[in-house]
Amino acid sequence: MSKVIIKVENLFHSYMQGTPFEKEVLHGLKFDIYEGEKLAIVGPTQSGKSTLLQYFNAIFIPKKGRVIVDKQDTKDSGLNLKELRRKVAMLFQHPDSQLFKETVADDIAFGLKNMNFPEKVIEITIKKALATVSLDPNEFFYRYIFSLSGGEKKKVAIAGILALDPEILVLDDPTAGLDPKGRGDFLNSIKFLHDKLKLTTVFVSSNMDDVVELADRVMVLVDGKIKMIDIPENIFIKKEKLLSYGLTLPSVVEVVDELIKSGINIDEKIISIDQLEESLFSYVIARDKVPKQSH
Amino acid sequence: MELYKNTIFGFYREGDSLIHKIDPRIKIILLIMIIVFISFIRTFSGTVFIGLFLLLIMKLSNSSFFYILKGLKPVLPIIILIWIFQIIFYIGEPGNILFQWHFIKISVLGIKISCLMMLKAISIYFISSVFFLTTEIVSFTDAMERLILPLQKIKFPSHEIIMVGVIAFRFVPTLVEELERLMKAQIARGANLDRGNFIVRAIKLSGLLIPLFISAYGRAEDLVLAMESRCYRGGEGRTRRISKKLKIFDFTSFIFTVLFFSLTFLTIRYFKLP
Repeated sequence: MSKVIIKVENLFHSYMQGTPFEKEVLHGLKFDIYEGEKLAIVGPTQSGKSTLLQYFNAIFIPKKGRVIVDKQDTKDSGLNLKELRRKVAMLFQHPDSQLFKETVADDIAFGLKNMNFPEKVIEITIKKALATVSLDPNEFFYRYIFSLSGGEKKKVAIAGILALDPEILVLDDPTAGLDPKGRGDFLNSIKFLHDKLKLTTVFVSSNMDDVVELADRVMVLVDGKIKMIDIPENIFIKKEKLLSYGLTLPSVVEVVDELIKSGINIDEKIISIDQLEESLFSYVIARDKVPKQSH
Repeated sequence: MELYKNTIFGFYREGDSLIHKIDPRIKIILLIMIIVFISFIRTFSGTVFIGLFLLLIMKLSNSSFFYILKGLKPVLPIIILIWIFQIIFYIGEPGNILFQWHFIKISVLGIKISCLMMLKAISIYFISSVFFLTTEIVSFTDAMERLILPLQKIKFPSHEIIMVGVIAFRFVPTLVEELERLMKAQIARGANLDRGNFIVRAIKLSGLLIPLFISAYGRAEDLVLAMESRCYRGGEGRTRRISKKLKIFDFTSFIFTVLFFSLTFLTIRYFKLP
């Protein structure tokens, strides 16, 4: 196994501490995130997913338990918060909450200015960041945020955090609210970024198809407790369990299920569309071979 | 960095106590009455009676004394400041002046009256807290509407005013949530919203206002469409989902309060308590 980059130890979280409304939402989480992996966090609503994400860039500081990001305890008082937040880039669910300047360039520059990048470098960095998310820098540099489509806004939001040259990418339900084309584009650019920049990627998703497409490992979080953490193949085989948590299955898994039920003999561990295509292809060849031999 | 989940809106706490059960219309009238009664109290012995009454109400409503007290903390400096000013600048009959320096006069009577004012203000805070702890915002606004509905006869737009109030209340948590999201997004990109002196922080926060307003306008537009698409045309002829009738219990609570305070005033008058 490669290096551990985020270590979560015995993490608890409560809302409204010290009031009669106090409610514990994370109950002693313990897990590691390895350098360069893509970890998906799935769970029903109110399971504490978004809360957990906010511990990775020290928006929340643990009151009970520890979160260690790149060998630094976020509880440490001498911690350089700016540096940590540069290292851990966070993309929020709604790009509208992340984009608040007038133009694309201004918005991307916001983070750079906060991190005290020199004026001269800023313009070049913005253009580079736009190019990384496959937006034409010349076209988009002076565009108004309001004139962007949903997918473009999302890309600009990513450009805004990528400009800071992060090492860990934290995404909160990144494909929610995107149309199918926007979603495909977005997943491809995340994959591309991961392969090119070797970013560790942690994301929450309610869309299991995204999980299948992106994740190396999946964590199932239910009511603030980790129920499973494993590779996607081992997670999605436990269909009944997932359904009982109120989660859905990837569409490929549902198709495979139906195919097996109707008597087509394929591996039930298939989760991705490519695997399905391959095994159906070999199934058809095998089936066609049988009558030929009998003649 | 948690605004939304750590803020209490409207204070309401679910419960099943006697105070919860009083009809909200009666409760509003009672609240106003009690506040008036409290402001009529002019003696320290009177505040003892108020204290007893508050303890009883808090016992009946199962609300925690210390929890309400905690809510007083943010306004405490202002209360203390007002108290000090009152002591210093009290202009009354020239009683026993303890200390005089230029225009500052501290008299026994001044101290007495400002202490009394403090106690009364805190009592009013407590009784209103208990009210909002035990009354849902929805039933509160509904009751308000019923109470001022007769004014519709003299062309007073009571339904519309209450509707605006309801929507405003409803959107406070939504806007706070939105604000929190904006702040977190900026913090995540290295903004230091909680650093610097008061003015620096205010300038930084002003950067949040524009996106907040834009999203609020967006929401308002959606809301208008949602209401119109369900044929909302104002208050005329609208029926209610829940129709409430006053019960004997409501009248009992009313009579009890009136009786308690009448007895208080009579006792103070009769025994000439200080």
